[in-house]
Amino acid sequence: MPHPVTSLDAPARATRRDGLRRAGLAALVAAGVVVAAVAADAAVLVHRMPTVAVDPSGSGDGTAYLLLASDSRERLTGADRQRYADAAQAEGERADLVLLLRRTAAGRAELLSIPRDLYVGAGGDHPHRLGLALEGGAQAMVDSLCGNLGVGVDHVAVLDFRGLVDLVDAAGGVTVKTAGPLRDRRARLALDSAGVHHLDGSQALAWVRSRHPEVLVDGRWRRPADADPTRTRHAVEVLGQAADRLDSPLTVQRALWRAGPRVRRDDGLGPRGLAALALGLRSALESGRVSTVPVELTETEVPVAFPTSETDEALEPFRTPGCDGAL
Amino acid sequence: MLSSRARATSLAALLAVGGLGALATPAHAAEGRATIATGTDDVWVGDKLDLSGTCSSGTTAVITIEQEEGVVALGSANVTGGAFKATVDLKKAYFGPATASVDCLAYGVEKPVAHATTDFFIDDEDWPFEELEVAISQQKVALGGTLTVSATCPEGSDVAAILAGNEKADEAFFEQEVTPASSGAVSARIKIAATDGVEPEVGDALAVVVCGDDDMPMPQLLGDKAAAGKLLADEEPMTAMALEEMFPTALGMAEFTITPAVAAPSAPTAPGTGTATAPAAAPSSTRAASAAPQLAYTGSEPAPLAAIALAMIAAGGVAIRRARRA
Repeated sequence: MPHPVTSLDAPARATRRDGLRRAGLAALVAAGVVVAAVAADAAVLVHRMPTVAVDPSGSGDGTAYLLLASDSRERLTGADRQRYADAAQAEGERADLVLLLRRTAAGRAELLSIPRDLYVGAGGDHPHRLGLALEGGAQAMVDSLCGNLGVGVDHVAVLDFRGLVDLVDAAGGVTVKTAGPLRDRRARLALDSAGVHHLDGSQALAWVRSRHPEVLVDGRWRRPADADPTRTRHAVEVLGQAADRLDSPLTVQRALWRAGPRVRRDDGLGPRGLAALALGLRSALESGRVSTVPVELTETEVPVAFPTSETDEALEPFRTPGCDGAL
Repeated sequence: MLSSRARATSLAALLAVGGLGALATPAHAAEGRATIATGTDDVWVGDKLDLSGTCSSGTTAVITIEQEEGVVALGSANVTGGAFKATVDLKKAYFGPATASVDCLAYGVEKPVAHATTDFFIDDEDWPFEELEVAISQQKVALGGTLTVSATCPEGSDVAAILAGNEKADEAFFEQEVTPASSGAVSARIKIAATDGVEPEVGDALAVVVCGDDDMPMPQLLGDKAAAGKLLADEEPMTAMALEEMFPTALGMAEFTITPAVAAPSAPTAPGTGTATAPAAAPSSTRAASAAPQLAYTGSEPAPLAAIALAMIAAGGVAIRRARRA
């Protein structure tokens, strides 16, 4: 004969089970909603990034991303267009920075900076400085990398001036250190004192673009010995700090929302590819696997970076069998 | 080592007959407003070469020195008042013809706004080959006649090639691979007749003897088969064969004149055998001059046989440089 208490407990247990089931279902629905929201947000974020038609040359093993910082004035609006006005470069666009990120199949990421003034195609029909190939569009950059340097890529992302400004602002700014007051009139950079400076997006852009900095030493403006006319060091410094500070989904979402429309991507670069690119970039910057292609930079009015034997050595690990270009 | 006089003579002859122009051809602008000229006619491997010219104001002049193997030097200069002066280092250059070009670059413009080139010749104090004394049986030979060419290859040569052709022809009408005797002596009797469709013509001609060592094939010396393959592919098969199979260690040439064929009252000399022996076929100039041309010759495409020899020298120069570097 069943115990009366037992008969009374059964409904209670059933009620408890129902409650748990409902709670589980609610949690599941909530999780689903979150996942859906994140997916929708990601889709919207990616959709906000315009695409460019590129037929990538392909890199073989792993994935190679070509990251370009465009100097397009035409893509600027409002005050920015006036701020960065340059009669010599009012039209078209050139790459101020040419970065190559490669993720091996094993997930190891390396970042290579190629000086934009690297002189390629010498002796051929189309000698030019690499970064200026962007005048012909992203495809022309891909073709030049493959045809002139032997480097193939799988994806391309082109960041506008404003994109870097927004990215840094979304990250809360970056910090740099100078040995003295520093200026670069061409880049519109002015840091009035020595020491640590917290830069907002516009200042960070000027810091990255600076090729002719002068430091005030003993009352005289002098070119610092460690100036990097290739812009690589400052670019890596700024990108590295921004990546560090974009450490939560919220800040990442905010940064992508702001900078997204200023980043053009090849039409094959979707959400997964962008996530892999972001992770690879962060990994390379954090691990210090960042290098610059050595060149011999001229002191001429129009700077030109001539290749050396070390240029070839630096490019060799990034070369692709399908691309037969060589310096 | 050749005397400087002999070298100069030899080189001048090569260039002249090779149709390669003077030591420094006049500069010309291909487009835009640019010119370029070398500062001297005597350009040597390892030297600094001064160049000057014009570019549009506000541009930078980028100088490229190119030889057959590719770019051997780069340089740049600011343009002041529409003119530039630049100096490039020829330490990576090698013996042979070269082209200097200027591209005038504007700051924010990808394509050069102007371009000009000039050709010149780079000499090398270390003459890459021993010069051979090449002897010929007579200075003048009639079409259909024969000529004996002989020379003595340097010690260590185990292969040689003897070629003959008109000065302005790009193919030889006679070519033969010869194994040097133990003394190094090589010789060949050359029939002044068509071979493989190449017709000799009345006029100036050259006999070239190249000695080599087939233990050191060119690709091996170059250390880069792809580069060697390209180099060879650019040449006529005959030259390619010679370069592929041996490393030239010595080179020499002799000039002779082909005169019109002698009228043959009796049975004509059998053509086409490179070793035909007909002493009478080496006529005197008087006889040749008095004879009307009898053989039909259509005339080959005018181009330099000597350019072949020059290419061999240049290629040898490359090989030597590379071998030394290695």
